[in-house]
Amino acid sequence: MHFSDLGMIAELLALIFAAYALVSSVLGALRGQAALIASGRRAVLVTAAFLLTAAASLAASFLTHDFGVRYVQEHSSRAMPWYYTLAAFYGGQEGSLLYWTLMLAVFSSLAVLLHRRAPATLMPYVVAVLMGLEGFFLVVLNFVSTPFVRQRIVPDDGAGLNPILQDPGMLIHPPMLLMGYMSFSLPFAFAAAAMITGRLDSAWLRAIRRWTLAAWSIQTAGLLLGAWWAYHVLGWGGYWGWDPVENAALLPWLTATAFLHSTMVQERRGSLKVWSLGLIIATFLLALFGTFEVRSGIISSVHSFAYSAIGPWFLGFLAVVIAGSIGLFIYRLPRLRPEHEFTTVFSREGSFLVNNLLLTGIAFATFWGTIFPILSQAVRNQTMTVGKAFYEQVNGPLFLLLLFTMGVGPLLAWRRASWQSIWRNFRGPALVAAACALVLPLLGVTSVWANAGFSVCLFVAVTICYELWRGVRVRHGHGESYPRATQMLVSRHRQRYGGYLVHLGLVVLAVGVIGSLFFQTKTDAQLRRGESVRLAGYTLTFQGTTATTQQSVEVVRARFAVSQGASAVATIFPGQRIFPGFENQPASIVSITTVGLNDLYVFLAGYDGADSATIQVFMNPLVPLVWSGGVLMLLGGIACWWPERRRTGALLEARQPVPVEVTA
Amino acid sequence: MIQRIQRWILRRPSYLLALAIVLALAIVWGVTALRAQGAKTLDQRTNDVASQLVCPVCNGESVADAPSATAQEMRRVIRQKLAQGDSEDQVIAYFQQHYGDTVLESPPRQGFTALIWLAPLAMLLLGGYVVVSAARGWRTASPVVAATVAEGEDASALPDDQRARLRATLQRELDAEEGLVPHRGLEGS
Repeated sequence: MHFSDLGMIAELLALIFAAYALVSSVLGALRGQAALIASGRRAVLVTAAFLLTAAASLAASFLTHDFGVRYVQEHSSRAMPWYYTLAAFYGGQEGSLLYWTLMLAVFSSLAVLLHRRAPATLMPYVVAVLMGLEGFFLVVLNFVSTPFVRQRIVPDDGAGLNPILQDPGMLIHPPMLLMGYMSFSLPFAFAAAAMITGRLDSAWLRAIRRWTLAAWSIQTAGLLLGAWWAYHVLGWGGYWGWDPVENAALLPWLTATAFLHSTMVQERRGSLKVWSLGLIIATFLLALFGTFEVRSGIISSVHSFAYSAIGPWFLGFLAVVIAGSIGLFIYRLPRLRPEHEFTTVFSREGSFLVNNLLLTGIAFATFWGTIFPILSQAVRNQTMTVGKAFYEQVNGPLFLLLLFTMGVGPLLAWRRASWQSIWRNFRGPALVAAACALVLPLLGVTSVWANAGFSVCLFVAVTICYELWRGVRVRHGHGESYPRATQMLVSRHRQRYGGYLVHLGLVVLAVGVIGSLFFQTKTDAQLRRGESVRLAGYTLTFQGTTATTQQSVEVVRARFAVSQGASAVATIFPGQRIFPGFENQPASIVSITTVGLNDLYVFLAGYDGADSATIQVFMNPLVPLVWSGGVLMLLGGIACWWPERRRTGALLEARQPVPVEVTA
Repeated sequence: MIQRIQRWILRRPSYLLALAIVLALAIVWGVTALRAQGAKTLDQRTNDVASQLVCPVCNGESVADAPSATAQEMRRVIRQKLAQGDSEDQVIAYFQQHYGDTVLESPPRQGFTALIWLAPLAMLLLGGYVVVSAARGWRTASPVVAATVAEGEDASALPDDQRARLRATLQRELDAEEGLVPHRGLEGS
């Protein structure tokens, strides 16, 4: 018996238990039998255990180089180090599918364990929806696309992994992104369960927000890692190319962000219920679309590596989920009436509306641009690409407006903000921003968009600091020292200041994006030994290439001395890795030298012997800010999500089945 | 008349300051926009043109970004043509003639591909209309103010000191009852 046989048995048993969990949860809920419901919950844990077994079997097949398993043979080879061999787990579509399914089972188990005391009416349906989704993936995994297929002839060695994927970024970026896509299933399951039971109250809202926040943070991390990987591996000098796969990952992030904001209105004012519910459903559908798009190969992309025949299955599944959600949605529409009315658009609620309009606008434009080539193919039978230029022209101004709203919104009062209070809150930040706009042209910022972008970023940063300062000053006025006041303020309102931290992170990230978008300089050069090329004050002198072989991988390194004026800055070695079996697909070793806030980015495009090299040199200003801003956003997201000790009492109370609405 | 306007403005210095800020921004951004038209290096112009063309043999990367030999060659041609005195548009038109519309990064704003530009615009306008009309609806439909002022930050219409006092009192009360009655803090949860 092989490990793969064990995996095959395990994934089949997982399917059976998932189906059982679905049926017993629904029956238990319908008949009011607590024993059946409990049994369904336990079946979720069993499903997860079997999937863990299946995943462990696949990992074992990889590590033991069992090339009798076709998936292992196609995605790994003996020459690969053990960590890339293990990463080859999700190097193909079958393994990714297994990983997705496993993570859903793990997260479902977490939900079952964490919400033990949740309203008894809601949880069985949450379990049922989750296991319904799980069931679909397990059916595909078992009967359409399983990684455990064996081949009769066992080759001595495997084909190896696509060279571009043999990178440290690959170890963590794809699993993070797949987990991000998957994790939007949980808010969706809560939303669907709430629609089925009709319990659309505040307890439900709290649960769904925590899960969305978790999913949002995971997706943020996935997006950042994706950008980082692209920047360090692909060698085109950028980190975001509005590539279809990148767009697909951004889409659920955008709608989830809109949801997190619109639920704040729902929580405070009882409005926008329909809209929020629509957003969370859309988020899940977009996450499915993303999972499907990466794996289907319907749109060409630098990120897609696996093509397959599971397309029709996914399309069918998408159709079922869309039809089901819309049906439920319409059925529950009468219960989603707002509890309060608004008064004016110049209020916190109003700013949330504008925020949602912009976020969904960006999401729509991005989605539209992503699928437009397919439409064009269908309507005109003509292929086309929608490049960066489209997204920059459409989304750029929208993002700028979004940033501006981000500065204005948090300082507006709920319900109605008076002109006086608006002015009092904003005159300081507005003055600072205006001063910034005046100074920037003197510093050589000649683009209006860059100028406006930087000024708006500063405006937002100042409003956030000002808001923090006001809070600290009030506490200080009551006898607390400044550090203590800051600490108390932030720990008491962690969600609010966590949100501000996310905003601040986005501002820092935006500064980085604007910097690299408007001030990137680059040049091509074909150099012979001893010749040099100049860019942005730096001189790169070519000192020849060397080739070595490390574990059957041929590594070519070109040596350049970098100097600024008379002083030497660094010696860099941009290069290429040539993997056995992939001779025409060299993986690049990009050289990135960070000096202050600028990246000197050198890509070895080609070489001819030891004395000639073709390189692309980029000066990418402010790119390090993109990463630090991203990390700040992530920390902010986690701060908002992190459970609060002193709220335990309140949470427990909220979890009691309070009969707010009668079950239909 | 002018005197009345003057008096009106002088009584509200804040409006004057706001107006000054808006004017200053308009002037700075306007002047920068006008001046940016001139003075571009050959590198920048080459890059501008290259970033508007799709590399025909790559995965949808632009000619400016793609590392492939084809893209390098195209960049060389662009630079050469610009150096010979062609305008940016002429160079783009040259490539469009050779490779067809698919070589353009941003689809033409006419014919079928105009849809790609119009749809997002239409959605935004529609969304904007919904937001504005919803806000109108709220204003007319609700004479009832739903809730009392319960939280410090809601009371931003109050003077700063009074608000601070209220907030501090509320915080003290909340701190005092900690451990007895579970509460959700100032922020809700």
